[in-house]
Amino acid sequence: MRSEAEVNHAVEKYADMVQRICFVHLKNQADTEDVFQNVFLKYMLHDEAFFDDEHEKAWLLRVSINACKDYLKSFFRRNVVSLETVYEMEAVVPEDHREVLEAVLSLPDKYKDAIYLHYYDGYSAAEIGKILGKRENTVYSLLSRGRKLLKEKLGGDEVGE
Amino acid sequence: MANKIKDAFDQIRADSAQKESTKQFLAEKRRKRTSLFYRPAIRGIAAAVCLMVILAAGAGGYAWIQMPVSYLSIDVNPSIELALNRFDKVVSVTAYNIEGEEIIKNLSLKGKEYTEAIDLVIGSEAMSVYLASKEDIVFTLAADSSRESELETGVENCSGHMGHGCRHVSTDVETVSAAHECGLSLGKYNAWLQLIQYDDSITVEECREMSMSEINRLIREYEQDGAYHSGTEHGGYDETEENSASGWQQGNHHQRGHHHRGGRGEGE
Repeated sequence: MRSEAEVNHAVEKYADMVQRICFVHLKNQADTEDVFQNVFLKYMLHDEAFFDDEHEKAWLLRVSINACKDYLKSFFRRNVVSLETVYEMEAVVPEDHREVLEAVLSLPDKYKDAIYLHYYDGYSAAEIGKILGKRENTVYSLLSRGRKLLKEKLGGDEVGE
Repeated sequence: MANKIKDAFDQIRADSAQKESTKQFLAEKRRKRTSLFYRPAIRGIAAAVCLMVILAAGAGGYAWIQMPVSYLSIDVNPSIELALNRFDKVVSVTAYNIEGEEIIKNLSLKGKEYTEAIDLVIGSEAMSVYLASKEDIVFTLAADSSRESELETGVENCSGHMGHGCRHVSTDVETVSAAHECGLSLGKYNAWLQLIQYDDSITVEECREMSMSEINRLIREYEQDGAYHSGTEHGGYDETEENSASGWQQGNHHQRGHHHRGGRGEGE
């Protein structure tokens, strides 16, 4: 088990990243909190050393994405319908960014991760492939189809590489 | 576009309340994990204890199922004894002489229902020799009290339709251990007990060598001679005996027909 100092440091360092992954996948703050805590619990109990910060970050990304998917798949989630199905985006996001976020969130699940990892964290297709456990070529097509969908939603001229 | 997405996502941040609650949650988990039960040694011991309980229960259950509660002895000249568990399945087969070994060596009787085992033994090739020469076949049953009536009926049905000099005798389970001490099958031991009422010079060894037909003939001879008529004392074994419908079909001397139990001394 990792030391308390190490874990607290990781919470400070990666909280925003994990929060964004949860935001991409989950619909409300309560779910996010559950998954958020779970991800760091896994981190705390994960005893293997990381090679470097990049390795640690990629590990957390992967664990977060899987935790979100597992959470959505869980029996409880599928059988209890939350009343607040819409993320309280208004509270946290200024108006001018909302359109972009909504466009990304409206993408089918399989494109969301690739688009997010590419455009936000700046990962290459090969790196995304490793994190998501997909082949590089698959990631390329996920990215290009995701981009096409975004273009349709946001208007063609705004979308660049 | 890339910048727009980056800027937009930059707005999404974990608030400090969430970070704090997560840290608390993790501290709580850590406290639980380091508590007594989570110490590896304690967990190991707990796991070992659980495992032992499961194993003991399994072994106990297996022993319970495999424990013989009833015995069925088939004696012609070959002496074979089947030990049955509480579900009337054969758990072990013992031959008490070479002829018996000949018969069981090619049969797999373990795990079979006792009626099936009887059919297999009687139907076996090695047994057909004895059947052809119309030897007596005696089924001797020592059944657990809970299984007694059912087993008796089953054996009766099995022996009844066989026809040839076939009969069955019931005795109690205590007789079995006495028989095993003498190295005789239950059936022969039972017959020996009857025989020594007339002639106590007959030893176990002599009895072991004789076929059931011979023993029965001797007993009948003594009966005919009226050598034993008191009919009161009995060798501590309880027997109920019936001749099969076909009775004695042998061609040998005196008295055929039914040997229904008349008096105490008549027992076979």
